[in-house]
Amino acid sequence: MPPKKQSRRAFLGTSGSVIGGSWIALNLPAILATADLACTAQSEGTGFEVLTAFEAAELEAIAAQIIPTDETPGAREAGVIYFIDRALNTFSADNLEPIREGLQEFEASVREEHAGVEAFSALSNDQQIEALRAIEESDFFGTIRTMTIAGMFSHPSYGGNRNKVGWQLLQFDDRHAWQPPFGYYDAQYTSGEADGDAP
Amino acid sequence: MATHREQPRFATREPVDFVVVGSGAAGGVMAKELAEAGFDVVVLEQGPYLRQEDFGHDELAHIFHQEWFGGREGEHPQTFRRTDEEDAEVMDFLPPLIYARMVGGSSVHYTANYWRFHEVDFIERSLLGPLSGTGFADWPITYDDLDPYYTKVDWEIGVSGAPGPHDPPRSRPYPVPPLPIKSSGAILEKGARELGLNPFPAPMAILSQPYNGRPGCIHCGFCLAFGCEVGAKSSTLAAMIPQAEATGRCEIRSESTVFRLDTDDAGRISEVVYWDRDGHEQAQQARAVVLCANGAETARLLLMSESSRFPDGLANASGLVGKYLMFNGLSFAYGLFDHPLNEYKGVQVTRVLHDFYASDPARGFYGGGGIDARFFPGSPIWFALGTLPPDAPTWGAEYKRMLGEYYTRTVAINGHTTSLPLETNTISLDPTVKDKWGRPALRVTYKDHPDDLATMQFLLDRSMEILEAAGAKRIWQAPVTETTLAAHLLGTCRMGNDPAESVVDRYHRAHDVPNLFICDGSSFVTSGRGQPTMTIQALAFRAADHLIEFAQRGEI
Repeated sequence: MPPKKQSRRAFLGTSGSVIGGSWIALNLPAILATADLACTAQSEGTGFEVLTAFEAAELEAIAAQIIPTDETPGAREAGVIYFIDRALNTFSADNLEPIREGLQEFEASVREEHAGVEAFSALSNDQQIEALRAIEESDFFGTIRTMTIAGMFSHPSYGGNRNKVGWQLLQFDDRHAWQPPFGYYDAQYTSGEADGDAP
Repeated sequence: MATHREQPRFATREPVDFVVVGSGAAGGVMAKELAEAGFDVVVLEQGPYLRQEDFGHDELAHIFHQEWFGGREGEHPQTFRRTDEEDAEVMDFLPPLIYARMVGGSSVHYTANYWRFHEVDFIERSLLGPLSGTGFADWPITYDDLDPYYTKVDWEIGVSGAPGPHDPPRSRPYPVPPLPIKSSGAILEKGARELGLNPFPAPMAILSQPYNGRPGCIHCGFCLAFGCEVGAKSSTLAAMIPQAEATGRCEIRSESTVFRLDTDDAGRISEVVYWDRDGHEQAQQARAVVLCANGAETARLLLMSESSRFPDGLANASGLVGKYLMFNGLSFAYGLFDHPLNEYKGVQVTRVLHDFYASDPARGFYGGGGIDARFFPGSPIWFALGTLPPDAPTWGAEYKRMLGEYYTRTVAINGHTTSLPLETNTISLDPTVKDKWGRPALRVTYKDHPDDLATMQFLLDRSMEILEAAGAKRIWQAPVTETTLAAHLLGTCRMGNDPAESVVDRYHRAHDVPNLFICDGSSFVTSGRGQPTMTIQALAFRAADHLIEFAQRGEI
């Protein structure tokens, strides 16, 4: 087997790198920490910077399973694919080739599994979920998941989170200043004789 | 907006009174105190000089692109191992030691919990007896020695708070009242009171109202990992550096990376050697040097400053430079509640609990700590990546539904604990890995003492009980594991009266080098209970008083 094939297999295979390390570190994947360039402002979706139309359609279909569209907007409406495309051209450029190769291999496995189907995006919803379940422990899926979440919940200037639909999902309001009460339980709170007393 | 004050420019080839290495929690205090006393001061800071107008709420930039470190961590590798039997490796994700490289240091991005140490913290070895296999020891100073300086921190740095039921005596009240309670605080208070415990308002170095020419907090919620955009957080960048500069005698030389302290024939430091922002080697002459580079970098710099006279590193006749590294343990319990807490608003912590502060021999292990309530991690990306309960789906429709329910309704109850000083837990120079300058990388060797893990588990259990008593709809936890990541860097140049058992004396003067003073987390003899910055700064105010006396009497 040629070495390149091996690295693809490794990429799609189960990752050992997330075993061990502290709990907090597990939640801060390096995938987003390979910063190099600051992002520029969002340009409306007129094509992609590095992804082919096919790659973009397929990655978007995966992202749309990670955060689906139901009664509220999902990754698709948030424009997560534009975030991913720009990230792969800038601060996450190191991930472009691994993702490209991982996607090729994933698509090949989909075609192998489903005779006559051209692409993951052409599968039924249930089939898509099943296909992703099979790779959910892989570096490839982990990377797409991390980038989907980052695209959904980062500042809209990075190309995703359009109309702040990600923040609306969380009920996070990015107003710049707040006054108490902040939530239900502090609004109900009555016994704080110490609060607000001047010394 | 702000126009920045003109600074003096001191010549490198003429000795200044003091060079301060590092501008963080301790260095910022030192610079201000020494300059106000009339001395010429050059502060050498390896990171950039960012101003509050440079800060924002961009989570991707600040946390994931590591602006909270002052730049890319990749240029500053660290290696980690648990014991010296293992090979140290560069960690996959975050480095083991978290600290900022920028003017103001980690006080810029910290959460700003400002607990004083209690009386017991300084004399616990005498109270409890020895603990075999550890470097458990009394401090050479007591709470009474530090009380006036804790007060100085309260009033000069700016701390909001109200006295708590277990507090040590204080000679002056807080300058400003506590910050308004959040839902996390109300929940901690309810659960704790149900259990007969005594929560109280969190002391925070964030202004609840305008004070000392700075504005009060606007409750934006972006404290942890972010610089404060209005200057309400009492970082040294906001509270000390401007006052140091206002004297006209203090030069903050940023992007200046110190890599060696050179000594003369008399064994005194003659100059501080550094790379400037263009990568050129410079040497600043100084009459005295104050090392405030944090508990990791301070030890590393001393070890790198070896010479024929000091073959094991500068100030290291005891062999203890870099040893007795302590962190503070941290435990995580989580609760989901019925109604929105909206914890993303406001400062991180508004209620704390010190009922388990003292070590109780009846528990069967040494240790104690404090508990607080907060929302961590609370910024949107970080939360979505991994704060849901461990059995929650990580993608798909149910994952999406849970994010919508949990983001505004989750609270974390954290336990903050003691770490025992162990000679085997160390900062040392990595023999193979280098940083971008070619310096040996920081090598961290750390393994928790079993009592430290037991203390974390004890406070985790108490945190779960509090959540239950507070009526949480669902409770989960992060299991206690060995510490591999830390932000509290303590103990690596411990203070003491015996030069064979410590690196600096009770005035922070290096036992072996008369014009070298070391003051930061490295001076700690024991770890305290989880929030060290208040004590680091009280030590700095106290050390500055003594330095000024020594200098005025010609005793440096």
